[in-house]
Amino acid sequence: MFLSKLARAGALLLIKESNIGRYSISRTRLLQGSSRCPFQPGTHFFSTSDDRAHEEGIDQKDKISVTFVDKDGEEKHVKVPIGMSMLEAAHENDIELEGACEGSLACSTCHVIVMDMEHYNKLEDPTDEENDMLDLAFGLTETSRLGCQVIAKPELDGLRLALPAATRNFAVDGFVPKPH
Amino acid sequence: MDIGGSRGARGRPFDEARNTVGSTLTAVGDHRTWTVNNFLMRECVSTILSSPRITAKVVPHNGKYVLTGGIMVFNEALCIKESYPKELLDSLSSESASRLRRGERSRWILHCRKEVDMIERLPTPFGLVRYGVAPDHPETKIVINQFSRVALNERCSFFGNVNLGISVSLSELREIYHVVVLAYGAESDRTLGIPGEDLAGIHSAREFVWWYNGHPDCSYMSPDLKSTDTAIVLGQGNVALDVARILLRPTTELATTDIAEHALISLQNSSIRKVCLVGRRGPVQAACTAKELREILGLKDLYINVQEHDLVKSHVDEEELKNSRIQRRVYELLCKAATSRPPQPVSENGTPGKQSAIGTGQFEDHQCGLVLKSIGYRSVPVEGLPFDDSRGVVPNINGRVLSDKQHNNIIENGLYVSGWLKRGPTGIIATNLYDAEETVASISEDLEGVLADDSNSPRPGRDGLLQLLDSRSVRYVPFKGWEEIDLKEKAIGAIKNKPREKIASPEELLRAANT
Repeated sequence: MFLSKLARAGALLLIKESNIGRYSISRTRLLQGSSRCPFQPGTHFFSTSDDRAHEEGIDQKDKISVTFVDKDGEEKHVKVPIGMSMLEAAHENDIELEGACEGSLACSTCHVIVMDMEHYNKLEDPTDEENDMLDLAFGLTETSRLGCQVIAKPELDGLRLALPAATRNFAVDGFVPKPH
Repeated sequence: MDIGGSRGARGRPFDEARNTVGSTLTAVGDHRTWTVNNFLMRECVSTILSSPRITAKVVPHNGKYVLTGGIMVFNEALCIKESYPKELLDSLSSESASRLRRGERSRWILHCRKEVDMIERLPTPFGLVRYGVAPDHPETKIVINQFSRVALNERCSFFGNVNLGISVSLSELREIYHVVVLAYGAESDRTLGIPGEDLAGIHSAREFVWWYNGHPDCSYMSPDLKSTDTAIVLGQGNVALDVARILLRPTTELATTDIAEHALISLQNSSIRKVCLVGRRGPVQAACTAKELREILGLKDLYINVQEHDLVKSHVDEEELKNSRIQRRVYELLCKAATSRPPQPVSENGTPGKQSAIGTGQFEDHQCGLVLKSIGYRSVPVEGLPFDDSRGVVPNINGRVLSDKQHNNIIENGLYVSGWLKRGPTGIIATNLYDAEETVASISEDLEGVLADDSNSPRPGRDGLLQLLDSRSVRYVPFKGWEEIDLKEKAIGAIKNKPREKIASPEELLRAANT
């Protein structure tokens, strides 16, 4: 396993050097480039499970593509490392998603809507605790989840998440929330 | 997870935003200033600080045009519709200038240099999060991190220990500031209006909560928990569940929370073993949330007794359940916990969502030594503030305060409300977030409308407040002072294996603030 990891890193290094030679080779660049690696489909050989990938450290982390769609329909495409929650991913990418309790399942402010059923069904069912919080979310839908509970995994590649209409930016287009 | 550090409250680095073109602009001292009286309303503050609707003005200044603020990247939908003087455009880098010229398509908006002063009655910030949230709910208090980041913004100041109506009047604040937002919540209680309500041993749940949370106003309250084994809680909302849980939770579990020391000792000696929750309406109308209910149902060594005949629903109840996921889930939890089953018909009293309790004329006697009324908080007015006595809120439209009814609903310019004072004491922290956004949207709109002229004329702002406080020898606690209190509380707590030991006496708080 260790050898194969080395081999893969070597392959990435080579690709980076030949493709984008002007960049200095660094760990971050390797990570950013990994999703464009032609070997990408083959990475299944190397990463056994999400947890494993997580444990194996940053070097071997894969990323999935996630699109956040704000209520104006504006899309933001981000790469999210396996094992990272959508709340963290949003914050890392300056996406306006609240997270008042910082992912401790004590609020509903990181409410996101999974935009297609197919991806929604690939998620573990929400726990009672998550459902308790979703009870309190504004604009709840059938495919609503808490961003802090949606963890990036390979099957979720291409995930599209809508930010609910009543986000903090509603004033932009004069949206007025319903009376509470 | 890193969402702290140099980032702003919304994950956006404030300084980055300001520095984008800030260095090429002259900022003049624009004293648009807000005041907020309750730290829970930090949403209000942070939204004001970054509200896209508030565009800066181009004003003549010493013979040339200058902007009143920096520039912040925001939303494409926003635009600058004013035409810009040549001098201004010349003073900008070509990139910024062309962005400005593009007007509607511009991704750039001008952002006022606003200042927000928060005035708080107590020496400590965070209002209900510190004194309302139960000690065994530390995760709910994490939001304090976000509040603190807002408070630490350079354009935001905290003035603790300043009492609206005593240290400074509302009319004075309205003179000093362009905009005043009242967000001081609900510091009193609804009453039942029945004989015997004020007998010894009967308290409001709010007082009890304040007592166990170390609120300076209730630190001397000493509820008698020793001469009785039964407490009755009137109400079935989250506060009712909170007080029931605190009364029944093993004190070994409470000992490692930030519960006030006096309350912990009293609870350790408590002989209360049984708590009855009494709802005026049925379980379908219970105001609690599933999380809190689930928590108490799962409490260690606790026997739950829900009578199945109390769970019988009417057709109107069914309708209500159909319309509300949260009520449905609460009801399901209650059903799971229920025992025995002699069903009885139940009457309907109103339309779905509007059912009220009507006495049946039948009475039951319950022996108890402590009654906690948990039937709702109530806001208190201050002098000069229109107040709807029947609803216990300030009359308003989207946060804009309305004059009294006899004045034909005239809007009080520059005066706003947010939070419980605006819509009544319900909802969670996130509810206040949306509530605050609505108020801020109104403010933003007004600053470009009815308040536009006024907000261009200077007001004393912070300096005026400081002068006033100084002339009255009011010793205010700045945020730095709170940080001192915070450090001290954490240090004392660490010795006892608690996250903090709250200082409950006002004098000690002021001493700890070291101001």
